[in-house]
Amino acid sequence: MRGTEPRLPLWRSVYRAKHAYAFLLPLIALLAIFSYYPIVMALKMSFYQWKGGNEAIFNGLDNFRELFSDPTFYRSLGNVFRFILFDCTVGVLMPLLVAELLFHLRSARLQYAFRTMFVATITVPSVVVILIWVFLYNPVVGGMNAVVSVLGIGPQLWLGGTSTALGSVILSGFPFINPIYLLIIFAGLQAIPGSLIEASVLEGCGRWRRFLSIDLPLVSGQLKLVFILSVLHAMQSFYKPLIMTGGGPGDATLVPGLYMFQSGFSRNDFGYASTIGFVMLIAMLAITFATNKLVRSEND
Amino acid sequence: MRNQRAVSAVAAVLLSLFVFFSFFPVLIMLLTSVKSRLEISLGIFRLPTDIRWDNYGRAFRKVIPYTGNSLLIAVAVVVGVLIVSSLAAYSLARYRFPGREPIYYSIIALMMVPTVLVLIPMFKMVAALHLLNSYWVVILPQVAGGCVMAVFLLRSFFAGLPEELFESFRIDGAREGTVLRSLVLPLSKPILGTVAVLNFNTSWNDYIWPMVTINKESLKPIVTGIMSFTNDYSSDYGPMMAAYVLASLPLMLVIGFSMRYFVDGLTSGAVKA
Repeated sequence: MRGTEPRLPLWRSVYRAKHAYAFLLPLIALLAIFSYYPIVMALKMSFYQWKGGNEAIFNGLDNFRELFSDPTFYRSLGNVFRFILFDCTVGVLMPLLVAELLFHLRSARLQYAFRTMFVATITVPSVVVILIWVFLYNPVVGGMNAVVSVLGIGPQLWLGGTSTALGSVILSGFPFINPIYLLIIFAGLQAIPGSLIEASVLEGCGRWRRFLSIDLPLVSGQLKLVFILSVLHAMQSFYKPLIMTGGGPGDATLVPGLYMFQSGFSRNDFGYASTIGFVMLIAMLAITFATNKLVRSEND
Repeated sequence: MRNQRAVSAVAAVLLSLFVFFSFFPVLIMLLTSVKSRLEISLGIFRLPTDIRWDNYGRAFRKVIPYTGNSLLIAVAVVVGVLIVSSLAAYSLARYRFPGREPIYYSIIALMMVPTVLVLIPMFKMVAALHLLNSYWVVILPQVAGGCVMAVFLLRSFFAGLPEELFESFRIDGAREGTVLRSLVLPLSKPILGTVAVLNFNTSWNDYIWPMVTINKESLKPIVTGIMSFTNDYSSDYGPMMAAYVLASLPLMLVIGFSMRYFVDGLTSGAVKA
């Protein structure tokens, strides 16, 4: 006898739960076709030479060797590093600043109104926003040259200039308040017990001190989430350079995601593209893991 | 206390400034959409002197077919996600069966997988299945992708429903499908609303996948369609911006009317994370 509780044989407990499996079936089928199978294929094809309509041929680590000696790939890494650096600093601090400001509003109605307005920015499709920025950056009709001339800066080519293109793409999200990140951080601030804040006021604790010693530690979980989300987003999203510059001029705004896209769809080199995807996946998992470890150890 | 009021006032001023800058591109879009070519060339920050509504007339005819496609796709995706994910989430929340936890985690783990990774194998697959240039090629992957987050949100909500309700239903001899349809779903309207709005938004904004899988103009959704007419207008910015405004309207309306679901859903998801 194994235990005191009589255990049903596996097949009988499976049969008894037949409804449960039936309810799961549509989802499992969909995910098998549109998630699991492509993921397995993506990982597998990184080890194949697979160009155009040709049969895929196993070539071991050749793609990886080629990738790690490809100057274009390193260029794209350098560029995406700047995107990441910007997004995980300014892209986290701006929502934090706005959340703090919202938190300091005395009127709940005003708080709700402002919060709704920031979220309302999400209703404009992101591609439309990018296209408006392309218009703003137009050296002739766009207003950007008029704006900088006030600051005493001469006319620029913006997206067309080798030295200005990357900065222009990165700065196009001005004022960098992602409404989703804002909501996440604001929810964290609202969860701070009111008694704690009252106590800090009674202790004569200044606002800056309160921010550093109460608000910041208590929203560190939300900040960590926002940090990871923005790094992952900066790492893989490439529709901005795709629409604004196509990676150019030259490869001034090329990022790994876009390089993968172009390898696959412009040069029909699917094996090489899969390899780029593979390396990106590893990098993203590593970053997520490292961030989780790092921030948790700080809290202990 | 006066100090507090002053801080609140300063916060309100700064927030107004940030709201203004957040909407700045939208303001430029609206301003430019009613200007003539001449007025645009005079400077994009100037207010228009005579308002050209006919820019909208010209844009309207181009935008409508794309908008229809986007609406059809988005509605199909929302319906698909709601059906598939509530079935699965109900199963994962209310049954005990062998393999439940591994199945749940293998679904949730998909949130970690970057979409760029699967772009190429998925493209090769749908090409082999002859799905290119159809609504299905956009709808099915979007349903699959949307279900992951939806199962996460719905499962925790369904699991929180009180057990007594279920027992009374089962005593009456209700069938499994009936329990889900007449007990669980009516009680879960807010969270289902959140799932619906989030997926409508994602579907409407999806750009890269429709761009590579649909090149037939009559089937393109609005976001990739925008690219086609951006090229058509070349430098005729008035009608172009009018078209952008029209392209944004349906999403504005849908999210505008369901802002509460949107904000609450995102906030509750954030607290759990």
